[in-house]
Amino acid sequence: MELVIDRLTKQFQNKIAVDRISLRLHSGVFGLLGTNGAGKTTLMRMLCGILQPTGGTIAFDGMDVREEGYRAVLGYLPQDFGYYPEFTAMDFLLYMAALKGLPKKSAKRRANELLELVGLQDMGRKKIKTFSGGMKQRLGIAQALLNNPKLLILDEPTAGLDPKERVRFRNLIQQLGKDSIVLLSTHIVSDIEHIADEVLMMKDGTLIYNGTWDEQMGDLERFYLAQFEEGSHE
Amino acid sequence: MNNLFTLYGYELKKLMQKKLVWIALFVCMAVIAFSILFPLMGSYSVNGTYVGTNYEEHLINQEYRKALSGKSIDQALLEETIAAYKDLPIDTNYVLTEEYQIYARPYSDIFNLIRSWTGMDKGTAQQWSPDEAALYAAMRERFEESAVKNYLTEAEISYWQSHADSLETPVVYQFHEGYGCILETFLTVGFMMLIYVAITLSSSFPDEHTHRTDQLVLCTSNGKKRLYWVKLLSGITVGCVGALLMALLTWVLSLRVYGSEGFDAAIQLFYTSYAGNITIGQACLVAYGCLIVTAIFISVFVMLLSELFSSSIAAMSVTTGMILAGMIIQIPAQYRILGQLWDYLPTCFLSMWNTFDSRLISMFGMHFTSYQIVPLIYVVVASLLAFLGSRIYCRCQISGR
Repeated sequence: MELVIDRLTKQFQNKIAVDRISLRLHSGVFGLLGTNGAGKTTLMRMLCGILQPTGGTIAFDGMDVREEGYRAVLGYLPQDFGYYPEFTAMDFLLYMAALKGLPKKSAKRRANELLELVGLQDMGRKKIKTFSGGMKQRLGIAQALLNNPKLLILDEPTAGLDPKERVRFRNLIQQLGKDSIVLLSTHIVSDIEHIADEVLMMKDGTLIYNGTWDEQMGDLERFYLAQFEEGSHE
Repeated sequence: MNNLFTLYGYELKKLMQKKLVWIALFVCMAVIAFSILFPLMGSYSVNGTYVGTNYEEHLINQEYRKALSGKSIDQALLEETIAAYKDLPIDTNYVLTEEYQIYARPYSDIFNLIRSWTGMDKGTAQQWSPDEAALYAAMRERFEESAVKNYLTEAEISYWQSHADSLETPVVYQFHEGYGCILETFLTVGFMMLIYVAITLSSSFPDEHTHRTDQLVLCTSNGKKRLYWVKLLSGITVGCVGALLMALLTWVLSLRVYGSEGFDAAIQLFYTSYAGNITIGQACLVAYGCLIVTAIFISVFVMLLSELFSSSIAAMSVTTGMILAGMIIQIPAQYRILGQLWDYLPTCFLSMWNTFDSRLISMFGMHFTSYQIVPLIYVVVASLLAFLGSRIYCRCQISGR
C-alpha cells in the first residue's frame, strides 16, 4: 500500500497554494499541521481528486487520482462537512454507500455498524437537520469509513467533538492507521502527538517538516508555534 | 448495476423532499383546473340584462350540440341553419330574442362554422344563399389565404392542398366539447409545465454546491459520471411526471365536465383554418405527446443551466426570462426562417398554432410538419446538452471555501 505524491503543485492565479510537494506514504497515521492558509485543505482536496493540480501526480498503488479505482479506496471527511438536511442519518449513510458502490445488503449492515461505532445508533431514523454540530461530525466520520478505505483523508475530524468523543475518535483513527493510510489535518497539536506515526508540517504551500516526532525532540506544539510566530514576523 | 437504482431512488427522494416541488405542482394544477372550469363560473348577461348562469347556458348549448352531433354539414343542414338565422335582428341584443333562443340557437355551432370557413360577418352570413359546394370551396380558399399569410412556399402549399383534397366532404358535425377544451387548455398546460420544471429542477445540481455535499459525492467511485446521469434521469422523471399529471388532470376534467364524445371529429370543426387530415382526438394525443417530449427537453436544459451557473436563481431567471420572451416576442411572418426557429423553441412550441403549424420542414426531399420533427429535434438537442452537462459536472472543482 503506497500513496505517491510527486511534485504536486496548485496555483490560484498569483498565489501558489501547494508548491511541488513530493511524498511517499505507507500505512499509518500522518498528522498534517499548518497555519490557516498553509495549503493543507488544498493538498487534501487534490488527494481526493476534487481539485485538479496545476502540476504533479498522485497515485495510490499505481492508480491515478482521476481513476474510479482510486476513488473506490478513498474515504474523505472534509473540513466543512456537507449533508442533506431532510435525510435521516441512515438514509444519508445508505446513499453514500450506494455512491461508494457498496452492495445494498452489506451497505445496511455497515451503516448500522458505523452508527453504533460513532454513538449514533439511536439516531438512525432522525433527520440530520435536528443533529447537533458534534453529532453531524460523527456522522461525517461514519460516512468516510463506509467503504473500509485504504486511504482515509480527514480534514479536522475532531473539530466540534467534546473531549470524551475526541479521545474516542483519536483511538479509532489510530486503529485505522494499522491497515490504511490515514492523513489527518488538525490545529490540535496534542491529537497529532498522540496518534500520528509521522508529522507533516506545511507553511506557505511547502512541506517544512516531514518525519517522526518523539518526546526527545522536544515539545511539538512549541515547535509548531515557533513556525507560526516566524510566519507572523515575516 | 453499481447501485444505479438505489441512487436513482435517493435522487428522486432529494427532489421530492423539497416543499417547493409540491407547492409548484399544486399551484400549476390549480391554475389548469381553474382555466378548465372558469367558463362555467359566473353568469351571462347582454348589455346589462341577465340571461342565466354560465353553467345553465353551457348545459343548453351542450344539449343543442349533442342534437346536431352526427349530422353532415350538407345542403340540407345549411338551409336549416340559415333559415333559422335569417330573421334575427342585427343588433347586439339578438341573443335575448325569442327568435334566437328558440329557432337559431340550436344551430349556433353550424352558423359559427359557416362564418369561420367562409370569413363572412354575421349579417352577411344571415343573408347567404346556402350552397354546400360554395361552402367547401370557401373553406379551401381560407386554407390558401392562410398559406399566403404565413409565407408558405409552393411546395408547402401543394403539400397542404393534397391534404385538403383528402378531406371528406361534407364534414360530419360531431359533439367535441371535451376534446375542444383539451386543445384550448394546451397553451396553459404548456406554460405551467415550463414554469414547474424551471422551479423544481433549477436547484437539483446547485443544491449539492450549496449544501457542500459536492466534495463528498465527487470523491466516491459512482459520484462522477454515474451520479450525473442518475441525477439527470431523476430530474427528467420529476419533470415528466409533473407534465403527465397536468395532462391527466386536463384530460380527466375536460372529458368529465364537457363530455368524452367526439374523438373522431374532424379537426376543422375546432381549428378551422387547418388543412391537416386528422381528428380532434388525434390532435389531442399529438399535442400532449409533444408536451411530454418538451418536458424532457426543458428538464435537461434547466439542469444544464443550473450546473453551468452553479446557481438555482440564475437558472430559474434565465428560463423564466425565456418563457416570458416566448410569450411577448413574435417574429413577423415575413422573416420566415427566423420566425419558424423562434416558434419552435419550447417556450412557443406548446400552442395549437405552432404544434399544428402550416410551415413545414423539408429534409431529404420529404416534408415534415412541426409536430413530426420538432420533438425529434428536442430529443437530439437534449442528448447533446446532456453530454455537455456531463463534461461540466465531471470537471467540477472544489476550491475557495
